[in-house]
Amino acid sequence: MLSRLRSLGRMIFRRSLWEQETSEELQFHLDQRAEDLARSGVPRGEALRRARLEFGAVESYREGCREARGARWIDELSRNLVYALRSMRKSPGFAGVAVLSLALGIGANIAVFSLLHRLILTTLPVREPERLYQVVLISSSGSHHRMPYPKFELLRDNFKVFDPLFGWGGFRDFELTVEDRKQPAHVAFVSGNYFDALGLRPAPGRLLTAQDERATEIAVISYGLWQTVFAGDAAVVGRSFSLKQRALREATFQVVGVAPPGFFGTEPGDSTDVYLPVHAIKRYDPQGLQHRGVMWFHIMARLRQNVPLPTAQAMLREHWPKLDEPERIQRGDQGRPHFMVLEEGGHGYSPVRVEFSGALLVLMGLVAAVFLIACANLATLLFVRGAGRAREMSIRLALGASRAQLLRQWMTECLLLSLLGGVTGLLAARWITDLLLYFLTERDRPWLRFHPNPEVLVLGIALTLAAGFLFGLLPAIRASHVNPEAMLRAPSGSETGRRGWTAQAVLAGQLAASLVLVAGAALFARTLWNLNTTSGGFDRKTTVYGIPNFLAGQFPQDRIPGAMKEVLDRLSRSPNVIRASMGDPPILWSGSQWRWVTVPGYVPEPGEDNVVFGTMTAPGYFQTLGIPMIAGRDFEDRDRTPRPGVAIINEKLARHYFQDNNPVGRRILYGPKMPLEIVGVVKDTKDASLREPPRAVVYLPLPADRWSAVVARPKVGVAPSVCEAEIRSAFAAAAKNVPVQVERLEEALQRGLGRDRLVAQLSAAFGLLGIVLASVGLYGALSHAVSSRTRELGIRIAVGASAWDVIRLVLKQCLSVTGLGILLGLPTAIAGGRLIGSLLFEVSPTDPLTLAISAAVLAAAGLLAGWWPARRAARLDPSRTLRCE
Amino acid sequence: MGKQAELLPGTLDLLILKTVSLNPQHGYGVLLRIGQITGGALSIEQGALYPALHRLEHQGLLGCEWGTSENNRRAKYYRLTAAGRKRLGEEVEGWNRLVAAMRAALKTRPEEV
Repeated sequence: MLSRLRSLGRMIFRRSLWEQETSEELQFHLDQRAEDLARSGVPRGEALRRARLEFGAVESYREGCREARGARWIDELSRNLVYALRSMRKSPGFAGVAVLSLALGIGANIAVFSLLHRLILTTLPVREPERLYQVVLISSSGSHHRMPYPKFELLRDNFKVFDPLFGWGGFRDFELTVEDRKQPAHVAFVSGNYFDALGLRPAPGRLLTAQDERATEIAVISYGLWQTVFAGDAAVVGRSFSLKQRALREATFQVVGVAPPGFFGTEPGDSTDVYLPVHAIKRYDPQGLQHRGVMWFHIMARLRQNVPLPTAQAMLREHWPKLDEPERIQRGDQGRPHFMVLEEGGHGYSPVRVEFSGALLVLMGLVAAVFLIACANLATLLFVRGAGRAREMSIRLALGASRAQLLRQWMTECLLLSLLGGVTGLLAARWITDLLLYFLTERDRPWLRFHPNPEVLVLGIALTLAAGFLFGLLPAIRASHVNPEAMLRAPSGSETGRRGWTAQAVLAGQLAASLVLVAGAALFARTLWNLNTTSGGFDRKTTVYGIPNFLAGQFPQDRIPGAMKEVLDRLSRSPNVIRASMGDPPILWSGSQWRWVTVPGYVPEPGEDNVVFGTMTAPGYFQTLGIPMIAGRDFEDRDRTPRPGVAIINEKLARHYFQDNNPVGRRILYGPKMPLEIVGVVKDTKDASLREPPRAVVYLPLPADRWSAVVARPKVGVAPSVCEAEIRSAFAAAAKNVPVQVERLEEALQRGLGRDRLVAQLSAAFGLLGIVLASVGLYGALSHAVSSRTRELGIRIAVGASAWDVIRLVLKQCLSVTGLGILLGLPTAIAGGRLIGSLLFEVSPTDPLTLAISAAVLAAAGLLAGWWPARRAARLDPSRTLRCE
Repeated sequence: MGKQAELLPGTLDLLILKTVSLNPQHGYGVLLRIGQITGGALSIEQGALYPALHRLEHQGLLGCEWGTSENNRRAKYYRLTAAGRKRLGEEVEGWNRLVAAMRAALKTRPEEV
C-alpha cells in the first residue's frame, strides 16, 4: 500500500524525471538488442530495424508503463482540475454563490457542533470520568443539583456504597486581590477529598487533601490564575491573596498549590479560579455549613468497587428518606418524602448546558437544514448549467469521450467547489462560534470558544464530501446522459419546456426545507411575542423597582426602617407616582420561601404536597403592581406586626383549599407554627417564570422593622424613566450614599428571555437565508426555462398571445414547483414542530395560522423569484427570436 | 528457435519474479534470462515486458536502482524486495498445485472414471 502511494507520489511530483528515465530504459533495451544482433552477424542497419520489430510498438508499451503506475488516473484528474478551474473562472458568479453558501452551511454546522461537543459530549479531564455520578435531590419542588451542606455529611456518614463521596459549592460573586491587582473570581469551596477523588496531580505545590478539610486559610489556585494574575511565578506557593465577597467580608488565603492545566473545575463552561477547603466558608458566614435551607453544595461520588449502579440507587431510595425524616418533621414538612438519585456525572455540572442544550439542539437542526438547502440550491443551479452545457457535452461525446469520463469531469468540478466551500467554512467556524457565543452568554467563556479537535475536523471533511456528492451527483448523471444526435441537430432556444423530474424534485425539496425553516422561525417569533405580551397577572410594562444596598453604603442598621418609610412617603407625595410600596416583584422572588400549609377542614389526598410559596409585602403592593383584589382587604400598617397574624392568598390557593367558599376570615397554619387569618384574596400572578402557570401563594405583611425592594408605578402618561429618577432622588434624600439598583420590571423580565430571543433571532436569520437561497434557485431554474423556450414563446407571441398569457405561462410553472414544495414541507414542518414543542409558549407546533402564514411567505417568495423571468419572457420580440437562427 | 508456446495469462509476472530472484537484472537481461531458462520455448513480445516490470515495481514487489551494464552504459536494474520474495513463494506454490492438478486430470483414463 505504502509503496503504491510512494510510487503514485513520484508520478505526480517527479513526472518528467520518470518519463526521461523510462525513455532511457527502453532505448537501452533497443540498443542492446541491436548490438547483440550485430554481433551475431546481422548488418548494422538491419540489426536496428530487427530490434525495433521484435520490441513491438514502443509508444504503446510506454503508455502501458504509465498505466501500470496509475498515471492515467493522475493525468485525467489534473486535466479535469485544470478544466474545472477554467470553468469556474468563466462563471465567477456561480462559483462565488456556491463557495459562499457552502462555506456558510458547513461553517455553521461545524460551529454549532463544536459548541454541542464542548457542552454535551466532552467529559471532565479527570481519572475515569465514566465512573463519576452526580447525587441529585428530588423534592416536591423538583430535582436539585445543589443542596444544603448537612445533607452531604449525612450521606457521607451513612452510606458505605460510595468511595469516595465528595462535593463542592461554587460562588461567582467574589473579588480577588493580589497586591494591587483586582479581578472577579469564581470560588469553589470543596470537600477535602475533592482532588483525590478526581485523581488530579498538582502543577507546582500540592493539592488539598482530606486532612485539609477543616483548614480555613489555604487555597489551591487554577492554572489559568497562576499564569495570569501570578504571572506564572515559580515561587507562587506560600504567596497570599485576599478574597472579598460581594463587597462585604474579606479574608486572606495562602496558596499551597496550583491545579493542573486543562482542569477548569467541575462546572464546565464556568471555570473555577480558586479552590478553598469547605470549612473556609465560615470566614464569610460562620453558620455557612449549618444552614438547612440554603441549596449550594454539589455532591458527586464514585461507587465502591463491585457495587453496581442499581444497588447503590436502591440503597439510596430505601434509606435516605428514613435518614432525612427527623429533619423533615422538625421543619413541619408533611409532604412527600425526598429522594436522592444518582445521575451520570462524567460531564460535570453545567447550568449553561441545562439552559442551552435544548436551544443548541434546535440550532443544530436549523443549520443542518440550511446545509441541505445550500446543497439543493447548488444542485438546482447545476441542473441549469448542465442544461446550458448540453451542447458542449454532446460535442465531447460525439468526439469520443466516454460518459464515465464526462461524469468524472463533472464530479471533479463539484468536489473542487465543495472543497473550497469546506475550507472556507472551517476557517469561518471560529468567527461563527464567537458570534453565537456573543448572543448566547453575556460573559466571555474561553472554554466554549472554537477549538479544532479531531471530531470537528472529521465532521468538516464528511460534510464537504457529502456536499460535493449531494449537489453534484444527480446533475452530473443527467448532464452526462445527453443524446448528442438529437441535441446537435436541434437549433438552440427550441428545447421543450419540460425538464427532468429530478431537477423539479430537488427544487421542490429545497422549497420544502425552506418552509420548515420559515415555519420554525414563525413559531419562535410568536413564542417571543407571546412571552413579551403575556401580562403575568401584573403590570409589567410600567412598574419600576429599586433595591438599595445599605451594607455598601455603611448605613446604620437601626435607621433603615425609618429611611425606607421616608422613601415611600416621598414617592407617594410625588405627582408622577400613583402608588409605591415594598415587596419583591413577581418572577424575581427567590424560590426558597416555600412552606407547608395546613387548612382546617381540608383533607389532603394521599401523597399531596400542600406546598405554598410565601412572600412578604407592604400595604399598597397589589395596587402598585396592578394585581386586582377579588375579596377582602389589602394589608394595613397595623398588620405590620413583628409576627404576622394575617395573610392574603391568591385565587389558586383559595380555589384549591376552599373551593367556592369565601376564605376571608378563615384560618390556616403556615409552616409548623404560624397561624394566620385570611383577610383578602388576590388574582393569580406568574411568579416562577413567565412560562410556568401560577402557583399557590401566601402573601404575608412585611413587619414594620423589616424592608424589601421598593416598587412604584407611574401615573398614566408618565414615562417609567421619570419614576426611576423619583426613586433615585427619594433614596438620595432619605439615605445618602446608599447605592440603589433601579430598573423597570420589564428589563428584568427581558433578561430572563435571553434564550428565547436568541432562538427567535437565529431561526429568523436562518429562515431568511433559506428563503433567499430557495429564491435564487427558483430564479435560476425559471430564467433558464425561459431562455431555452424563446423560440416557442416567440411563436406564441407572434400568433397573438398577450403579455399576460406569457407571464401566466411562466408563473404557472413556478407555482407548480412552489406548490409541490409546500405540499412536501407542511408535514415535515408539523413533524419538526413537535420536536421543539418544549421551547414554545402559548402557540401549538401545529398552529394552522402559523403554517398558513409560512406557506404564504414561501409562495410570495416563489412568485417574486418567478416574476422577473416571466416579465422577460413577455417582452420577447418575436421578430428577433425567430430570426436569430 | 524451436516450437514456441503461448504464455498463459499471469505467468509473465511469475517468470519475471523468478528471473530477478536469481540476481538483479535490467529489463533486457530479464528477457535474455527468460529465454535462457525456458530454452526459448516461450514467446513474448519484447516490449510487453516493460509494463509488467513497472506494474510489479508499482506494487512494491520489485525495487530498482540505476547501475552500469556490462558494456558500461547506464541501465535500470530490478531486484526482488521482501514483499516480492514472499509473493514469489506463494505464486510458485500456486503454480505447482495447478500443474499437479492439470497433470492428474490429463492422465485420467476412461476406466478410472
